[in-house]
Amino acid sequence: MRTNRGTSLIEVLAGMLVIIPIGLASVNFYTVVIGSQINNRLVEDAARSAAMQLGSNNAESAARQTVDGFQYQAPVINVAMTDFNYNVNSQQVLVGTTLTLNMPVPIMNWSTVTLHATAIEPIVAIPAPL
Amino acid sequence: MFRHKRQTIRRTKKGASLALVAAFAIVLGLVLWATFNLTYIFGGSQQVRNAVDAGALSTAQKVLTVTAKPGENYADVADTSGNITLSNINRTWGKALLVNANVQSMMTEGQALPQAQTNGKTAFSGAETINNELYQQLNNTTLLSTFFNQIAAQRSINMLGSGAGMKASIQAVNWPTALLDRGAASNLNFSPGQIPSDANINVIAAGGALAGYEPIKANGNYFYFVPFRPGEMPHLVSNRIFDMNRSDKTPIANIQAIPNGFSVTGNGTGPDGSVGSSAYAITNPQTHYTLAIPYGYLSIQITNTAKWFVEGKQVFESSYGTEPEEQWGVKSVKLTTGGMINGYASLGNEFTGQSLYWSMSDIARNNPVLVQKMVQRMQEVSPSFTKNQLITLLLSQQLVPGVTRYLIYPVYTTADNTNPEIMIQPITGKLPKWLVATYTPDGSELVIPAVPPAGAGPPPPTKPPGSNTNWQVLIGAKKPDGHHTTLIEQNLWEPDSGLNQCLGQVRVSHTTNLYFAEN
Repeated sequence: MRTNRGTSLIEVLAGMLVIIPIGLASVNFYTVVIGSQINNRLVEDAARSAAMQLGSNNAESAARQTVDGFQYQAPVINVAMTDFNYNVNSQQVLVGTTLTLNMPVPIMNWSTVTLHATAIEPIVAIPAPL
Repeated sequence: MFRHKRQTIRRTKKGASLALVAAFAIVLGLVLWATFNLTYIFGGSQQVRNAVDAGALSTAQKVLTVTAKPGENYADVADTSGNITLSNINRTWGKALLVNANVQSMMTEGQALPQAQTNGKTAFSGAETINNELYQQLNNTTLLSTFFNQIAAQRSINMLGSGAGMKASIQAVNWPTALLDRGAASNLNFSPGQIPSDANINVIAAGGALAGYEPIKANGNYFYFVPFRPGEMPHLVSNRIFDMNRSDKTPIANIQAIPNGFSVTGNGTGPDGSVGSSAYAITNPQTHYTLAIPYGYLSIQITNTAKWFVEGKQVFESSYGTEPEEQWGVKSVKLTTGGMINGYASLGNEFTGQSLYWSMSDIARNNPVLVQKMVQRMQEVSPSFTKNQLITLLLSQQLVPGVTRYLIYPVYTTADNTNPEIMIQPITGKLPKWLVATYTPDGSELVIPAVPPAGAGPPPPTKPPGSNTNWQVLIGAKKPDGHHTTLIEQNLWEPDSGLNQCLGQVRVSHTTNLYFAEN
């Protein structure tokens, strides 16, 4: 009987050695997925704000304002606007943002992840030609 | 047998935990795998939706570049490239409406010549041709899809897998369009005084602008304007709102209305499949104009006639200018009492040193009818034009010797023929290049009597003193030797539709009757 119990314990422990890393890795994975979705939404909002402005400076400041106004919530530790291109000729604005996350389960010094996203929007603020 | 049973039981217990753990690991793996895939599907789907939204906005923005040619009658409302677009289609319809309102007014007043109806129809059919050309293009899904792809194809939809791409889906059906914001303001402001009151046209306004998608009947035709709310940019609209206003499901009677709402459908295709989405957007050119016939002018014509009478019978007729001159109109006319008579006169004295204002007696008497007609017509060019501006212009224009025609016209400093400065020049002056001074009238003349406003008391003197006089030389006769002159002043109004630039002509008519050999 003692032998049987020990065997079960070893079996469970062996199983846990497989299951627990999978579980922890999936926690990290979903954190990244959620972070990616947050970043996509942020870059979309920033690009839309920029698209509603006339002039590159106004557009950049609108996009930056959107990014700066980001409400931080764990595990997000930083957001930043990294790309900006306001092209009057093609009537398009491109905005790029990065979002840095604290990984809930640091694995092998992998404690933070930085995600990058870009969005291109038509500049709707440009009036029709006279 | 017993031993064999015990061994079987022991073997089962031994592997039970491992089996459970393995089963749990498999289930967990499956759940994780499914969630992983679902996450990518939802993420990819969101990326596709964002890309389609951006494509819809791109379409709503790029439709403003769709052009039609203005034809010969609408070059003055075209953009700086010489085209009609969604931005200025309302100007086009506005000009057509004004021309037809003028025709309807002329018919009410009994002053419409047959050419007026022709011009009204020409104005309408010209605007309709432009309208239909834009309509065809703005309902062309292939064209709209190129606008969509300009943005959507650049969007990343990497969650659908590497190499995933986005493009318009135009295979199944044409993309529906919509007539959104019905009854809302168009981008064409107007003032009620711009439309002749006796045209009796029911104009529907929305906050100082002509209302959108509200057909207006004038001279038997329907005119309409596309709504573009002030202060708005192209933006997304909901499926519900779009569907309620679809061009094909809820069209507007009597007109082939150009849409302001556009739907798009896009497909994001990756290695493992594709995701489709639709979006809806309303366009807005963000330009504002005023109802106008930009290339329009008023004409003022002075005609002076001298009628020569001998013994009460007219023997000659001549014309004279606006500066003093001497004419011999009676040359060796036999008298009934025997002998002959020669007669001459000094004419044009009534204009000495005068401005155009003082040459128009009815204006000087503040004739409300004629002033109103002139101001109304010039408001068709510039809505802010006032009676005081008209009088100031007429006072500023001195009569030029030898010139009997003057024009009141707009001068534009803006590229799109807006906010004109109204000027006056003699026909010999420096006129704008667009102005064609010769025209075929489509209205007939009518005398506008001088009627002082009620309670205004006796009218002020119309002009400084100055009169025409005549003299006679009797040859072989002593009687009859009386002679005198009379001056009859009339202002006549000839309305015009404005299709050929001229909006109307005031004719200042002076008739000097010269009587010779009177007792």
